[in-house]
Order: sequence, then structure tokens, then C-alpha cells
Amino acid sequence: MTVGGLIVARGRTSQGTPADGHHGWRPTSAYTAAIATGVLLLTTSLLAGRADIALIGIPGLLAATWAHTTRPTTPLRATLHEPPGTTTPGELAATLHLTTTPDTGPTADVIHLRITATGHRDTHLALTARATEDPAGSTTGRQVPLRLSSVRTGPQETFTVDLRGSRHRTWEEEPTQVRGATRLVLPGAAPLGRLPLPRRLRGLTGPHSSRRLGDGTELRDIHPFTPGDRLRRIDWRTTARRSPELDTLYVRRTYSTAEATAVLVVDSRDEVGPDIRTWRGYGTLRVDEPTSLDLARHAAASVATALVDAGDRVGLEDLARRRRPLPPAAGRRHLRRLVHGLALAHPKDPASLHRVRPPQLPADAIVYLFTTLLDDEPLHLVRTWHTMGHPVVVIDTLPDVRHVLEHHLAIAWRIARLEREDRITALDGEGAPVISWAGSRRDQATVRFEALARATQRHVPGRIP
Amino acid sequence: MIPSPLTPLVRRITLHLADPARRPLPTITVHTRPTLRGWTFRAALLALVPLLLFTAAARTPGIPHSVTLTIAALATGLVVVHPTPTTAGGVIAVAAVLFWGFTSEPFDPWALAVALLAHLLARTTWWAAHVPPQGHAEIAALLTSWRRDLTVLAATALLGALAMLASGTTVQGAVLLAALAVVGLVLVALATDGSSRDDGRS
Repeated sequence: MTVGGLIVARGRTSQGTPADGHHGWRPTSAYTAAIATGVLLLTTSLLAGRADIALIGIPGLLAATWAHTTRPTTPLRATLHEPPGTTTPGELAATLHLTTTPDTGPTADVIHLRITATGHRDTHLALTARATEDPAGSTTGRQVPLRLSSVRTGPQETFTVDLRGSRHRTWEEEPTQVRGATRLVLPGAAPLGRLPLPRRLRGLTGPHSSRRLGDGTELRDIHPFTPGDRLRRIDWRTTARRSPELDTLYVRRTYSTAEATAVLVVDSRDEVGPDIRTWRGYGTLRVDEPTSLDLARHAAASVATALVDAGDRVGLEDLARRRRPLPPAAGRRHLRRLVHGLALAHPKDPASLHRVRPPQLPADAIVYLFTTLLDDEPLHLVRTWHTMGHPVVVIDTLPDVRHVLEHHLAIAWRIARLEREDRITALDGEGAPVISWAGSRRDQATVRFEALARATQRHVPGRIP
Repeated sequence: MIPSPLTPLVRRITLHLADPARRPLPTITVHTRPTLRGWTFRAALLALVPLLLFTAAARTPGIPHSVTLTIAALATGLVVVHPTPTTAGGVIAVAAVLFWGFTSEPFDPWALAVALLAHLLARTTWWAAHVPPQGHAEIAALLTSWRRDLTVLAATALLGALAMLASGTTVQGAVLLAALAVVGLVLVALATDGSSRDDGRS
């Protein structure tokens, strides 16, 4: 239908504004019920000749009639303010700003909210619309801080708020909705000690001492001067002690400095939670429990932070190959790039549809593989890398799986668990240590990393560096 | 020990009850002023409806206690399960009928107490209709229009006092005047320019 030349459907124009120009305010059924009850009781009292019966309906009738005389005209305005940029797990928060402007006309006195978020219970609230005042005394509108209980990482949907204002329980506004944007939750980093490094170190500068002669701080030996030695390396005290006639000069030779290269390989082909029932793709993963991908992101961010803090070069590969690999580099800016890349790693297709090819790795790089070990692909990858001479550390990111009631699922998990244990045993036997990152075993990961770092730094007699 | 045929069933039920995957979803944390839980309104209705009906029937002779009890139980169940303004209005009408008792008593000041409880019932029902049992309502929101309610109740008491004073006198044509007043009130009150909404649940 058309009203005043405007096309109106369901009481609204094509721009979405109320066609009656009253910002969607309507009398409620409470008003109708109060009037109907009051009139009914008045009529009854009239017929029965008893004024006291009418008195029972008078309060509702008076209140409804009084409230009906002041029709609200000002709409309730709501905006959702979210911190810009990325965030960290457990910090998904926003502030709902509710603005009622009583100066411009009657408006809502009570605000009804329904706040929803993925994986959370719906929250219903009835708030007073009275604005809060800041310390300076100026009115700032009503501000309602909101926070999610999610511990998940990666792109996360946030709040959806449906709200409606009411006035004197007689007028109600058309419901409106405000939505929060999708936020990127970056994985946090747990502090780690020393980490295992590759057997060979690369480059001429870096935080580590290599086995090669060169400029550095770690003394290798005292050696007679040879052509090519720098004059500033001559150790005059040793020369004076060993060769008082100065017929032979002695120099202090040092190990050169170098840096390690590590590649983080994240197996993001699948994402599973502690509940086996959700592994088939049905059901919803709980947001208050980290999934395998959350654990992988957290572990990889922790390893990357520890390596970058030590001055090493770190690269990133994603087995799902949704993003281009990040080549090894060092520095804080590169660390932010790594963490951002980890947050965006996400399964695209079912893991069974992927054909995994071993990523190309820089020479002499150590590989940190973050995987659930639920299929044989990681085992094949580790064997390929071992053949190419890369040391591999496998971080098991499967969450602690809960017991299930369904008999067929229990049997399936039992078989999968045994196969996983076989893979872990095979990896250990082939020199690829497996470190678990789930549950309470995460606390032991630091100790395992330290032990592995010591083992790789141990000088093996007879080994040519 | 010989396993009972019920043992697997008991074990399944025990595991089902202890299954952590079936725990409720996490909540959204919202910082508000002090609140009341939504179920408190229904709990209040559980007490208010019988109180209103028993108060209304208390001064009326000839109503069997079992009838009042049955009506109170049915009305309480209806309002608690389906708290809408319509059900509240119906209960108030029933209370008025119980108060009347089809008798021709003089003006009874007890009506003021019934009117107070009826108003309280209407208010509580509105809140119960708008706040689900698991929801929250700010106490400040409940008290937003307490001055207005006090004024309404004072006006009702004043009207009651006037009616009580006038109850002993006989004025010619008063019934016709009152009937015309009721019709006029109906026309004024229901002549709205918009359609009324349902009970607030969109």
C-alpha cells in the first residue's frame, strides 16, 4: 500500500522508518487489558450498585490513561563500541552505549535487552534507561560493558543485541538490533625456556656460537698468526709469554656467531574438540574449551615468541595451505606477522580431502610440527624431512578427549587412540620427539623442550660440525 | 555378585548425569546495577494471586472455602505459566466477582486492599511477561515509576473515600450519569491511532 506517496509494507517505508512517523512506539496489550478490566469493573459496579467493585479496577485504569497521555516520540539509540584491531583469548569485550535523549521529548524509561553470541546462553536483561553521570557531572548515556567467555582463537563472531524500549509499561518501541563485528582473536604465548635448535647454524651473525671459526666472543684456541688473520686479534700477552723474541705472533681465534632457522608447520587440516561427538562435523564445539587448532595456535605462538626473542629466524607453513607460507625471518614485526598468520590458519575442507605435500624448507632448518596425529600424514612428513636431514619436533595438539556414552563412538575412539599411540611410538623411535600440549601436560612441555635443547647442544665426540 | 538387568541402565544414567558435555553453555558477562532474577517475579505471582483472591473472598459470605481454593489454584497456575496482561486482568475480574459475591452489601473499605493487591498483581505480571525466568531485571528499573504508582494509589484511596461518603445518600439520575461516564471513558480510552501489540513478546 502507499501512504502519502510512499510505499509502505508492514508499517514501514522502503527506508525502514516507521510509516506513522512515531518511531515505532505502540501501546501495549497491558494498556488494553487495564482499560478493558477497568471498564468491565465499572460496568459491573454500576449494574450491581456497588461502588467498591469499581474501586478494584480504578488503579489500573488511572495508570493506563495517565501513561497514554504522553506518547513517547524519541527513539532509543544503541551502538556497540568494540576495541579496534585484534584481541586475545578471554578478552572479547564490547560496550553497549544506550542513548535516550529526554530533552527532545518523552522517551523510554526501561530498556529490554536480549544479548546473544555464538556458543553462549542468551542473556535477557531489563535495565533502567536513566543515564549514568561521569565524575565531571555530564550525562554520558547508559553504558553496559559486555564480555564473552570464549577461549577460542581465530576469527570469532561477537555480540548481537536485540533491544526495545518501553515507557510506563504502556508504550513499547519496535525492536531494533545492533551487531558486533567479527573479531580476530590472536593466540597468546606461554613463556618457554630454551628450545632445541638445528644441528647446523647458518649465517655470520646471530645469538649463537657456531662451530666455525670467525668473529665472535667464544674463545676457540690460541694459534700462531697466519696470513689472513687480523692484526687486532693478536694476543700480545700470549705472544710475549710464548715467543719473547717475537719471531712468532699468536692470535686468539673465536667461534663465529650464527643464527638458527626454524619452520613452524601447523597441521590445520582439521579442528577437533574434547567431545568426540563433534568430530563427525555435527554438533557445536564449545567456546569455553580450546580445540586442537586453538592448542596448535597457542603452542606455535609460544615457540615462535621464544625463538624470536632469542634472535632466531622463524617461518610458518600451513598444511591446509589456505595462506601463503611465511619465509623465515627475525624481529618483532615478523613475530606479529606469524601470530596473525596463525590466527588465520583454519581448515577449509575435511582433512581426508587434502593431499599433503611436504613443504619446502630452508637448508638446516629445524621443523616444529603441530598436529593431532589422527592420521598417517604427519608420520610421512616427518620421515621425508628426516631423509632430507631436518630435525623435527612434533607437538601433539589433540585436546584431552572425554569419555563418551555411545558404544560405537567409544570403540571408534579406542581404535583411533591405539593407532595414535602407535604413531607416537614410531615417531619416538625415529628420533622425532613428541611433546604434548594439552591439559596438564602443557606444564611439562617447558621441561621437555629444555631437555631436548640440552641434548642437541651436547658435543658429540668425533662429530664434524 | 550377579549383575542385575538394571545395572547397565543405571550405569548409563549415571554416566549421562555426569557427562560434562551436557553442561550448560557459558554465559555472557554483563555489568549492570543490582538486579533481580526473572524467576522471582513468577515466585511473587505464586504468592500474590492466592493472596488477592483470598483477600477478595474474605469478606464475602456464602462462598465455600473449597470453591475459593480451587479458583485460586487454577488462577495461580494460569498466571504463573502464562503471565500476560490478559490473564492478570482476568484474575482481577475474578477477584472482583469474589468480592462482589452477588450480594448487595454497602460500600466495603476492604476494596482498597483488594485494589492495592490487584495493582501489584498487574505490575508483577508485566515484569514476569517481559523478563524470562533466567533473565535479570535491574532493581532501579523496577522502581522507575514508583512516584506515579503512589500517586495512582493515593487517587484511588481518595476516590474510595468519596464513594464511601456518598454511599449513604441517594442522588436522582446518578446511575444514568455514571453509565454515560463509563461510555465516555470507553470512547476516550480505546480511541487509539494504532493497533495494540501483543503481550510485548515480539
